[in-house]
Amino acid sequence: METKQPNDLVERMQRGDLDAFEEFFNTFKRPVYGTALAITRDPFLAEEILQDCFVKAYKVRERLDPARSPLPWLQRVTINLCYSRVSRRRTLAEPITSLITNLVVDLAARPDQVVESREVLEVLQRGIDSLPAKQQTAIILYYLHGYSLAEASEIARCNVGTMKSRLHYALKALRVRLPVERRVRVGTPVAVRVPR
Amino acid sequence: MTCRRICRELLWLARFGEFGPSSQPHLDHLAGCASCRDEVGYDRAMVQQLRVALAERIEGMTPSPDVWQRILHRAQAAEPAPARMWSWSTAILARLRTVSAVTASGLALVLALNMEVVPVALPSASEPAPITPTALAAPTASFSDDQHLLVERPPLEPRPYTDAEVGGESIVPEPEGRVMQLDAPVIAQPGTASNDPVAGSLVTEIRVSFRSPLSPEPTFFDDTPAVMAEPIDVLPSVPEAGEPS
Repeated sequence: METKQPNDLVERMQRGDLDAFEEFFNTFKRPVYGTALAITRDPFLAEEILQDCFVKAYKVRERLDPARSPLPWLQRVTINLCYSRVSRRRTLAEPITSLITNLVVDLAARPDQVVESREVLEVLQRGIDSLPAKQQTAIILYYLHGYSLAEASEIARCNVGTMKSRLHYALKALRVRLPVERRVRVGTPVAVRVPR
Repeated sequence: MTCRRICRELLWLARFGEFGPSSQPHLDHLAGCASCRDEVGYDRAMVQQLRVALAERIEGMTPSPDVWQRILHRAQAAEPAPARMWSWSTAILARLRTVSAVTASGLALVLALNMEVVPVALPSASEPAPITPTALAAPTASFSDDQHLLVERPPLEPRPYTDAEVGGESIVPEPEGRVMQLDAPVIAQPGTASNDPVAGSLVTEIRVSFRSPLSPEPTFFDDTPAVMAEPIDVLPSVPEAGEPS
């Protein structure tokens, strides 16, 4: 895992050492907050989830295994808290057809020119929001936090093959949302693929 | 292998960085296929954009400085009380659930078996102990002939109920009498039974049974003996003509 814990941090916390709990919080708050913010895109809600996650960690500290990093558990709790709250707030994603239409000209060029497009980022943001929760979790863990496939699958409690599959389908869904007219060559007829 | 399939596999290999010696055919294809190069290139560009889009979501955002104090306050204040409430409420709810389940199961069993629920009166210290069937003396049996078996029942004790318990109706002990049990054919010989006189005895109950060749014990059609409305006299057995008396 990216964030390492001091060896006796959980043990000290289990003995009721509040300084250890504060150190625990400072060690893991960044990845936890990052996950919450990446999923919810709401700083206030992400902060609430951060609080809930660490309060829960303190309450169940006796059950934490001092021999293992608590980060996968913290991330799993965070993800569950996020989706239990986001599902109550999530609204239908706005149609992105108009954005795609505006992108046709840019995407007709090479991919390295595409990366400069602000609109592509917006399309991707909306595409990420509209992904199923498991695929969204997969891309956040793998592409945002940079966890390995094994680490991401441990957090998501699935096997590595399932994690690959989720990533594959997430990217496929995002690609569908991006216009395929990028291959337009001058004078070449193109079959337009409609986003699902 | 088609170009489309190779392209799909190339995308998979590129996304998860799993190129190896077995990927050489794919790389050879990639070197000569502009379409696949575009596909893989576009996918890599999209993944780069995806990383940028994800990083934008958390860029420059940090939790507020007082969040630790709020966490500490919540962790310290809320910890013991909910634990106690949880244990009490859970224990009560668990017991209620168990009692409800047992009651429901019992009622379902009664309904399913069409059983009758009767109140059970517990004897008090001042009342005599009720007479149980096992407390009664075993009836004695004697043969009247080879077709009839007479069973003499010992006198019954008065029932331990008071008048008040039966609504003021007086209960009198059942009269002493004899029980005639029809049993045909009788396997046992009359000579093995007692020689009690039979004629003139009062028959108050009749039970009918049969004997199976496989079982020496008689099987009764009904466990509840039919109490006769009027006692009848048992006639003495009359020997057939030519049979020694």
